[in-house]
Amino acid sequence: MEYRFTSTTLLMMGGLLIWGADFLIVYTFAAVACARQFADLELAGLGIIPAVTVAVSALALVAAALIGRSALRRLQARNPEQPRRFIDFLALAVSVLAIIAIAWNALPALLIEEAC
Amino acid sequence: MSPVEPRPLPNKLPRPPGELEALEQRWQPPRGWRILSAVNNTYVGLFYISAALLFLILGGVLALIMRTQLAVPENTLVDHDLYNQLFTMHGSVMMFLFAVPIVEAIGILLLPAMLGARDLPFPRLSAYAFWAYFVGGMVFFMTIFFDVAPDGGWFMYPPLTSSEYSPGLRSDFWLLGIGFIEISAIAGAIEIVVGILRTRPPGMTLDKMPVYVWAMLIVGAMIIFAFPPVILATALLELERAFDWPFFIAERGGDPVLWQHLFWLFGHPDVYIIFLPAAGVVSMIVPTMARAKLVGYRWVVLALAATGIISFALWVHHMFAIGMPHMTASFFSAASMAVAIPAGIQVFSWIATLRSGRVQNVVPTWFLVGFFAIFVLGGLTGVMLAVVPFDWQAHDTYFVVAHLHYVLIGGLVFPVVAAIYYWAPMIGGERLSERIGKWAAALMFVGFNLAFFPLHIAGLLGMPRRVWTYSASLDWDIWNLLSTAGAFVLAVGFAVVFLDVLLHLRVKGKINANPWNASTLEWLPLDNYAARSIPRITSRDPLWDNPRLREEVDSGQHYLPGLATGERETIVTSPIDAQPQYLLRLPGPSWLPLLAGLGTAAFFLFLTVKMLIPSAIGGAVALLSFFKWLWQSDPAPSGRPHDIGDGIKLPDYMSGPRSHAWWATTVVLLVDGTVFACLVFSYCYFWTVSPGNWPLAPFEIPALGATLISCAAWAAASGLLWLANRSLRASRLAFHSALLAGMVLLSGSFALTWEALATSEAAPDIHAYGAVLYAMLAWQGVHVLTSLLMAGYTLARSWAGLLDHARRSTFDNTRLVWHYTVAQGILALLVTQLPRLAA
Repeated sequence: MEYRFTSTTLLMMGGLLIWGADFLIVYTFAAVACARQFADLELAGLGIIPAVTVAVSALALVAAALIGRSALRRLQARNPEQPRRFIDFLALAVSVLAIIAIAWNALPALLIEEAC
Repeated sequence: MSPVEPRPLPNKLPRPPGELEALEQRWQPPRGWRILSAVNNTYVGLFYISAALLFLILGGVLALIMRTQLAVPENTLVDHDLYNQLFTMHGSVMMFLFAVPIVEAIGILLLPAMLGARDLPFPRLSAYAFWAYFVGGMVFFMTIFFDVAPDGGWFMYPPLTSSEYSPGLRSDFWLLGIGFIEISAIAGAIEIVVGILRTRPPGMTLDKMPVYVWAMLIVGAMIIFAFPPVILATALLELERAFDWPFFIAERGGDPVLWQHLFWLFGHPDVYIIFLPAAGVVSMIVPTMARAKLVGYRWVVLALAATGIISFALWVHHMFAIGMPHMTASFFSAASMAVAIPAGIQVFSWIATLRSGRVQNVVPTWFLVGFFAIFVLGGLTGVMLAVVPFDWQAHDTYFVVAHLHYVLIGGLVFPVVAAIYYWAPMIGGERLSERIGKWAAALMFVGFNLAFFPLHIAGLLGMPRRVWTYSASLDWDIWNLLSTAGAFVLAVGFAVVFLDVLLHLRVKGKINANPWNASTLEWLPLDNYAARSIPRITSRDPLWDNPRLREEVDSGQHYLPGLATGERETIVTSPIDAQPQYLLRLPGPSWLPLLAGLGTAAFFLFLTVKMLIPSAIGGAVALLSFFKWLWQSDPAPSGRPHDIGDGIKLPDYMSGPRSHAWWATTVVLLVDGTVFACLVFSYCYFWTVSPGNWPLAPFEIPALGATLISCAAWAAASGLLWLANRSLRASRLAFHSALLAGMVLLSGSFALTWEALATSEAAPDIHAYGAVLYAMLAWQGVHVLTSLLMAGYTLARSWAGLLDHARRSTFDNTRLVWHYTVAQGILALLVTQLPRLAA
């Protein structure tokens, strides 16, 4: 079978691309909220920046976990051909790393009291 | 080690008489001074490495002058003005003319052999990139002899470098010098990425790629996305300096901090663009030196990829001191700590590999040990600097200088010297001197640590970077004196390496050497045509797993043992699973890349000193060389398949998404798209930092009606090209008509867009709002002009009978650029309407 380059690459690097998107969104939101002076707003009892950070990061965690789970299922399938196995391993490992990185990057939202 | 599959080899013995002679004859390099017209990547790679090492020496001499000046307090060897030029040129030369070029140069030299390819897909592009870089770089360096060298530091922050505080040509020369490295880096990235994805040997699936190849693939991708921010930044600063467009002037709506964002969006990934290839080199040398397979191959690949991606989220840690919100600083602090994890994975893999084997006590090992110690120390101080409060204390002190030299010299220079010793037998057939090499390693290790460790202490004592002298009362004397002594010991170490190379390295054509008993393909018997036949790969360490492989390949029993098309050629394979797809016919030696490179250099250099006629002549020479070069490319398909062995018959032409040209054009468009994204970021940035509404009165949002009409015109221009594509097979007249009409409509679309954006009150030299709108227009104009040139060229080829429905790569490339231009035009227009949503 011939592998599609773009979809294979997106699969392999999916976890970290999600981490990148999460990082970009939470950073941009925090920067704009401070610059445009609406950081004092609250959402669900939290400041708007921590609330958005936690929510976006939670979504990112779920997305990375889904990629990881599908890769794990394929890895557990019987007699996978070698290149496919490598691709799935990378997809899984990258997702696990991304989950750690997403959680790690969200920590400041819970620890920093003065956002701006 | 696993046994080899018992499968017949692709080609049988004996080989036909004259097959090898024809191969040798076709790949014969030019002789004597004509060697300058060589385009084979082996030769271009050597030119490139030599030039980069020359810039290392030149940058090193500047460093020694600075260290001599700082050896004692209140020294008067150089004055502050020259000192400013020295540190600016030292940083710029080392980062832009040595570090980035050397990693690409080593890749261009090693990759064809490591991939078992006859050559990478665009040899003339590599040659052009080299000449533009070398000539431009030399002229850039020579500015220091004429007291016009840049003096604003290697990251050239405005407003210090704006025309108000840096009148004259100094900053312009920096912007020009960086322009050359931008060109050559992007060209190198195209060659490397497309080469790795499309010219791997049959069977070398992703899981069988050497780690170095993985590292270069990731670095190529990083260059595609990391260089555009600095391309844009340099263009904006030059526009500000030349035409007073106030991108970085705060009182007119600009912001100097935007420069810092754009520069470090490039600058931090650049550190990893430099480090990852060096890490790849280490992952190649360690298993050979330990005589054991790399422990955790898959984890190392994971670490390389993770480092590559995470490195794009670290740029703000260079800007912690600008006064940013605590939350955003914390995000970058966290990411800066997180990137230590993949670096750690690699270090533990190397240690485990060394532990699992029997380590050879040879020169490359010595340099690797030096690398481990120095790089780990540099990494640890990096984690310290990722902690925001510590960074505030250490910012702009010699602590940072010490840290970055530990990372860069430890992370790049030691592995590069290890690579020189390791791969010298691949070039000259024999190892360099063990005795001299070990002296060099010892001198460099001691010299380096003596030069840079004391600078940590000087920095913690408060010594700021970039001071040309200091008072004796500050107690920095001893640390500076030690550092200067160390710098000279380090320089002697370098000199010993160069001496060894000069004494013992002689470039040879035919090489049959594997002195380290290494496992990868660059240790096959090699000639100017690379390996005699292109190997079929069944494992990650082919020379270890099949001890007969060198003999099989050299006797022509693998793929493509002769000339299938009668021309220089290599096999193009699919990007993931390396299945043979077609034969790519490669160009031979030519003066055109050199002429184009000289023309490009002349164009920019004369433009910088405002000598317009010589500049125009240079530009014309470059353009004519490009067109002549392109005219010779895209050869006609023969229409018959060629047997490469194993019963595989391949065509000698490919168009559409499978062709290497399509891939290269896509890479260029990714670069362009990233520049455009950075331009949109700049627009949004000005909006964000603007007090009150955006745009500020009296400036206006471009009229909605005119904007929508322009969008429709762009879409129609794309539609006409779609029609041209449909009619290519059916009717030549319809094809020409649709293309010509498309050219008219594309020009019209640009005129409408100009009308829509330029009719607002915002002239580009009044406020940043107008400046950024005009910058978008200018960027779009460049693309329209390029599309028109390509379309005209396509028509010319069609009229000359060099383009039809089968031989259509030229048109395919034009299509890609055209549709991209249309999409970019529409997006630019829509971005200008965004403030309506916030109104």
